[in-house]
Amino acid sequence: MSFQKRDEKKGLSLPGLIDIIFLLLIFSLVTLSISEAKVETKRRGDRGVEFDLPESRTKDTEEVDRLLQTLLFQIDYLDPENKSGPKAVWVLKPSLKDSLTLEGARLIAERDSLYRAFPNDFLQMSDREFKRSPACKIIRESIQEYKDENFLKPDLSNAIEVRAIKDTEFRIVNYILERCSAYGDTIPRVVLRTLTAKEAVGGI
Amino acid sequence: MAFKEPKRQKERIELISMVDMIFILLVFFLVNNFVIKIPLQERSLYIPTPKNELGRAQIVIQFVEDGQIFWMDENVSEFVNQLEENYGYLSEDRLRRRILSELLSRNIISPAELDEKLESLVERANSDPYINYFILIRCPNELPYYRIVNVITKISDTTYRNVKYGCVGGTLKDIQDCKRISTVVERDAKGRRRKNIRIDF
Repeated sequence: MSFQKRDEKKGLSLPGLIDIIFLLLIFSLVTLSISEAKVETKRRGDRGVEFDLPESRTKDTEEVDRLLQTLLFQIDYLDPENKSGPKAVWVLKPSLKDSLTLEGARLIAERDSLYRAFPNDFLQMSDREFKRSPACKIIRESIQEYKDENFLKPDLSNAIEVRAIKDTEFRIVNYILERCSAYGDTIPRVVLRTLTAKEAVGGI
Repeated sequence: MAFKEPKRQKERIELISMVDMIFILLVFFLVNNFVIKIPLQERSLYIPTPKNELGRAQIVIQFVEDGQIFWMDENVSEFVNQLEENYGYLSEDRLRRRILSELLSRNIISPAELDEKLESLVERANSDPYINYFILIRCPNELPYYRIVNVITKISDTTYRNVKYGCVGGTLKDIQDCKRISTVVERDAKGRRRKNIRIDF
């Protein structure tokens, strides 16, 4: 009696293939959205509003405290939705107990009207006109007041912070630098807030 | 008549396809990991406040409005001295203009060239702890300040922290309109005589 040999055809199993493709698709979508969300939250900071700080991939930076430690000038668009509108400076002061967060200080600054817009044409202004603008006036007076209360003698730890969106014109930052330098060694440095890769400062 | 129930085949995990899948997932995960952007965190970068005194620097980086950079380092004093010798017959004002036009034609560099120069500077600083550099960064009012942050980022990671920097406002036109540019003979920290360039604004 002859036996019939049944050769099973070897081929791609369609259901298995679809399984794998769907698995990979879901996996890629999930990982992509998670990674983007991670970067976005870091960019936006804790207050949940977009704040585009300059990036500095250097180890020579220090971790910022969640609580405000010194006088901080926050420079942003007056209306963050309107990127062609004027920029403004918010004066954020730390509390006596060092228990004020950036968001809390910002709310207080808004409540107490501690913010001023830079004139639209501030780049065309002469030095004299620029220094007379309300925004420069509030910067000048805040530094003076804070220095009189807190920086009694020259010390390396005396510093003023600047948290400015990355397209802030150098004229604004330079004005803050100049105002601090007006007190000689009493305020030896200005701290710029930047976004630094976690990798650059010691690993993920 | 009793029928035999057909033997059910035991359900088994296909080892080969499982290994296949695991490898595919592994490769995919690794690739994805490299593509993912590195998360950023907010940190602070220090900038010294400028002092109200005569500025001295080994290197001057002047940002120009169109994205280019005017770079002056120690080689400039030698070059200016040569020009002074060659064109000594010119009046002071014409000599000043001559020096500036020569400098501008030679020392305007692109951002990529700036990166290269800064990298080699950091290499030199890392190779000798006794070399100290001071870099003066001049920036026009209109430029965004992140341009300065970019330069500081590149020069601040030195092993011996022997590259210092300062930032001031200023334009290329200020340099072009300077009252005087000349070489002066001074003594360095080791008491050696050397020629430096001096710009009077």
